[in-house]
Amino acid sequence: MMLYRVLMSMGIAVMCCRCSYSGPPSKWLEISNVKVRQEQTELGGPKIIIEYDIKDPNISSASPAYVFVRYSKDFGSNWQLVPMGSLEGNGFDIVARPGHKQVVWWGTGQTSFVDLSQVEVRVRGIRMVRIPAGKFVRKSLPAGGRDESKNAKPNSDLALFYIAKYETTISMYTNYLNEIGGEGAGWNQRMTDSDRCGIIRHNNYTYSVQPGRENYPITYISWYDATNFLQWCGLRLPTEAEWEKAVRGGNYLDGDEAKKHPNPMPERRYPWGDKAPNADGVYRCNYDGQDDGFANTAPVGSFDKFSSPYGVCDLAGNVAEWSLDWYSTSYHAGLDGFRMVRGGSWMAVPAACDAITGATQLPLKESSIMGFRGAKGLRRSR
Amino acid sequence: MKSLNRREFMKGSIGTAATFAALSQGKAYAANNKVVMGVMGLGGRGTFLAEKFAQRPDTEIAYLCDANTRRFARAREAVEEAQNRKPKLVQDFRRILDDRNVDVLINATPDHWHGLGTIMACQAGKDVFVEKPLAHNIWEGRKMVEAARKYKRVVQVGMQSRSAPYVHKARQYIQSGKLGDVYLVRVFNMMQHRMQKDSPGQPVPEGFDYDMWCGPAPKRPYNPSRRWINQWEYSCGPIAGDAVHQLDLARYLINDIPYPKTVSHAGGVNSLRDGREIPDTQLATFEYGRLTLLMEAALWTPYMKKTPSGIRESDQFPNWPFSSTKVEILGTEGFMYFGRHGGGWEVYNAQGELAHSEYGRQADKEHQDNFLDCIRTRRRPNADVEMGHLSVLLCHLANISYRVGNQRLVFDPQTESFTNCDQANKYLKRKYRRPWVVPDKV
Amino acid sequence: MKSMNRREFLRGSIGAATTFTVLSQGKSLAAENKVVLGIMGVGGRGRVLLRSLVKRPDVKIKYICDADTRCYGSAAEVVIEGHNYKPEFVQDFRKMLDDPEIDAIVIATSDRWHALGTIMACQAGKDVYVEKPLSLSIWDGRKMVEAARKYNRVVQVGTQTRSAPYAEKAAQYIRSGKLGDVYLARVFLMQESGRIQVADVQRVPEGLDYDLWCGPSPMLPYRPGRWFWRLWDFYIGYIMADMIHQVDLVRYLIGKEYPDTVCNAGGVYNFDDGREQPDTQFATFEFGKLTLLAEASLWSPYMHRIVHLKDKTKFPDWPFCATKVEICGTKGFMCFGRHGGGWQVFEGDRSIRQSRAVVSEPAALKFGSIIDEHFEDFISCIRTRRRPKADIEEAHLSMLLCHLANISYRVGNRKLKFNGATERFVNDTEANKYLKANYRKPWIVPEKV
Repeated sequence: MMLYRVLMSMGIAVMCCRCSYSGPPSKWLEISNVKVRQEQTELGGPKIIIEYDIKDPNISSASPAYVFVRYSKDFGSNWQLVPMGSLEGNGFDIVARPGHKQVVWWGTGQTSFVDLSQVEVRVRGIRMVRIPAGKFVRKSLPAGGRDESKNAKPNSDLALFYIAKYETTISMYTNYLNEIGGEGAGWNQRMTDSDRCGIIRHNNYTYSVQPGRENYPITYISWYDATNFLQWCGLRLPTEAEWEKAVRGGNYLDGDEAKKHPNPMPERRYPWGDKAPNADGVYRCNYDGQDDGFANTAPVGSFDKFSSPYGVCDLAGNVAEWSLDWYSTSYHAGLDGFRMVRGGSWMAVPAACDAITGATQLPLKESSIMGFRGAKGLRRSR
Repeated sequence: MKSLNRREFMKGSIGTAATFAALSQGKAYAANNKVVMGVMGLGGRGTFLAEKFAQRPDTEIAYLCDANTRRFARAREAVEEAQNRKPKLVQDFRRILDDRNVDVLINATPDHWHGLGTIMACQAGKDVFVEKPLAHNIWEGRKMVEAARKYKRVVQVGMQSRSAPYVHKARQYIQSGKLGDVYLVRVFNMMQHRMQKDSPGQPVPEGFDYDMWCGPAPKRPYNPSRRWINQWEYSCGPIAGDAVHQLDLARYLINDIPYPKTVSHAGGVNSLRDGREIPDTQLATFEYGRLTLLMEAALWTPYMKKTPSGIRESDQFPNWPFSSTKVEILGTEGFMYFGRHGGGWEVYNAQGELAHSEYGRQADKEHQDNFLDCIRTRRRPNADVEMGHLSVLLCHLANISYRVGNQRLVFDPQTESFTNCDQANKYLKRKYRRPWVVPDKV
Repeated sequence: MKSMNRREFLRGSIGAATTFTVLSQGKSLAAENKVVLGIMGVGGRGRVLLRSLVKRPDVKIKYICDADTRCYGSAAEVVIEGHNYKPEFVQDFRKMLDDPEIDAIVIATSDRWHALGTIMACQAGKDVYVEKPLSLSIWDGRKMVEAARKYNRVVQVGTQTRSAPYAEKAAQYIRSGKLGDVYLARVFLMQESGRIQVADVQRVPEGLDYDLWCGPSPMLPYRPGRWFWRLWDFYIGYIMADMIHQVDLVRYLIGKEYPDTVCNAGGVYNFDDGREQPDTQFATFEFGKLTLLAEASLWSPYMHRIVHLKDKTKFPDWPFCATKVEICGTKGFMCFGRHGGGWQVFEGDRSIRQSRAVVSEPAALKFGSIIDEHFEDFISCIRTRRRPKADIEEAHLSMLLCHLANISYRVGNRKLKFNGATERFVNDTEANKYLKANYRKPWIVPEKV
């Protein structure tokens, strides 16, 4: 089992990327020098103070880190997410500036640990992109489902939300498997072929990444696997509307409050504009075939020059992405019905990698062409 | 089974069943001796079927076909994962029919393509697995039966519960007389649908052969919504498309009773007033001599629930009073609740006691087994095309009664037409858009 | 009210003008200011009504009337036990009508007498309680309404669940929109019943005025028993005679009057006892966007009538309830049980796989108390001249639906269009023939009441 103690650091330190590409770091953000101490307070009971450094210079308000804290009270056997509501300080949830961070976990029943020495804390960060509140041009037809906004008309006016810059990677998912590990939770039968899915499963339910596959998007995950991973982080799947806005951008890229930067192409069909993914001998995303340089999935961020106006990568192609929404015209009302999947894939024709094409999939489907990314915003996650 | 010889052999062997059976079993599981299939229509159902047949050791998916290329990836991924051989991707199903190596066409298109797709496949010498509802109209259903018979094709309809052992047991139970005389069958299809969004017409997207998609139906301006499912030119309607399962099962349970004498429909577009043509409320009464069949269907009943998959796959029953898709069979001695697609069945007697029950399981696998078995033996499949025709006929009767103002119509089985309403007879057949015309002589 | 002197009560509670009207119409100033009643027909149902009436100190049962003198004893006994006096007996109901002391007549005869008995009582200035089924034909029912209105009579019908408080709550619930839009309602009468036995022709027993007993119906050779239930001229059929309760309730709950169409399915499937009326009826009524299904069978032993529920938290086993009413709205689904069954509303939404009861309203009644409530309304209306909850016209409109289903059956289960304004079928001479029953002289319901 894991013998790391309180002061372990997560993220880039564990990474050993041997692939040749040199894109931006795309797994957990590097978080270092994690220190935890407990202080008694006069009235509020004990509090726990977590300090760490996040040095990534690219963190900004437009592309902040999402930082979440998980803890174990039993030497790392069982882990829980620290609720954001019980934290104070400058280093949790959306973190818009690099630097030294301090998080105070205030005295509640949760923090009254008898013995801090058996407590472990893990701080992780995901690179996000800020999507300012405002209207956008929605062109896909809403498929319906839990998103109440779809009862009447396509929701083309969204509140502020954040969406992960990259698709969730194999190394992130492996890290998750190792933490929730126990009885094989999060693992499914189709992952057994490690050449295919990129994760090697060892005895005692420990997992490692097949070397070189760290930055590839995780595949073979069901809708439930995806939502469980994101709940573990404190995130959720994006809705279809959010996903589409992340592709196309709002009518104003700085949002309807500021309205200083009109979107030059508010009706664009692809993240980069209207040109087909393979127009003019330029390959803009990972679609069917090898012309784009990838026969199968590509490491996340491989096409970062063709990201969306906000800098979200790989919305087009690579892996199709689960959305929060249900498909509901359907004959399947009352059942665990189809979910909507967006974004084309490495197996799709170029035209299917656009902002409007969706596919339905049953939530238990585990596919080599489907992955996911997280989102955070006002809409409740379930 | 890819060689021409096989087909020649099959033709020659129809009369000598025993020999053929022995030989075909010998051939069936040889490595390169798979039944070769093409799938037409890659929506949810077509993708599901493609995946299931690709997973079988005795079948291979050689073609995936959809007018819309953007639908290829999902099905292709499923098939490639299952069979390690890449299928050909085509937009025109005639390329499947032209390939002599193909044995079977799986037709999982929208309703308006079921008839012609199946008939052309029969003409090309393919066996067919066609999704329900069998036919867009009554006349077309009869032509499909004629084509299957003329070209001696196995045509199995995707009414899979006919292959479920628990369904067979229910039929035997009723045949044994344990319900007494059966005078009433109720078929439910009570769902919750939502209003359709109306979206403006749009240019046809790249990679979509819209003319082919429309096929025999008129080519209206392209619209990305699924509103066609509530338009007569393209569809039997969302109720018919689902209720046909229960209607078929009800017919099966009472000895495949063929034709009703009359139909009378009540209902219309009540709740989902979004411009749809096809009613959201359908209450139809079918009279069969001393038996009445009531179909109670609506799309606005949120308290009625389809059987959850957990119940379909385990030893549990649906919550019958609120089961969307139940069939109730009322005899003079017992009352049967019957659930489709693995719902199982229960019989209650006069004392209010449970007299008998059987759990159910979904039978997609058994249905596919039966299809493959019939392809080899040339027997008629469990859900033969004629059964599909007689079951969807009930949906058409209800729809036509609605279309002529909810009149009560008297039906003549000999001519498959109405005897008391000329206007109704106009709805027996559709207008076909050239060149996609179902011929009088198939 | 029971402890009050009748005249004081009337004076105190209503304006003087009304009081005088009432008093002048009520020819009797009865002893002890009680409502003075005569009861016509004291078979089983008549005695049930008597038992309820004698619980009230404010009524006096002056007459017991039956064409069969042999019925007197057991009926009189009920009155003696409850009220400690002996009612008078008459064989011919017209004697009661002639008695100015009588305020109201309770009619619990066989069905064929309901219409004419009521009309004649109204003409004689009596208020009327009349059992269901109201009439043998649609035309009869209309004439009863006309008579009640013309002579300003209180005419209450024995569709008693209308008087149960739980029914009113259910109607309010639906009116408030909590069920959503209602597009489908179902009423049921599914149960087991036996063959109708037909005894041999016999001599008319002594003490039975057989001519009077037959009344408006044909005077066929006498047989004991209920052989006459097989015949349209005597009876609307076991199904509709009982279904009237559910039909009346569903009309009360959804507030509909005339349907646009009716179409019956069914027939005599199960009984070969020579009955004319179907033992199986599935009737569809279209009320604009709302469809009413009436599902009835007499061969369904697994369906059970509502028994008195001792446990007030319990409801009938709805799926197997013989006499339920079901209302399907776009939000909720209501199961309603007549005669003390109570009601429940079930809902479910997309996120919940199961539907569950969101409202459960037990009837919370003592056994037999619905009829007590019903008479409370009747007696109160006699005093105040209000229209009762189960007013004749409501009952007529409910009865009309039963007749429509029967007429559709009688013309070959055809679908019929109905015009509520004229209470006639549209362009259908065959169906229109059945609007009026056959009568035997001199017991003819008059064109002008």
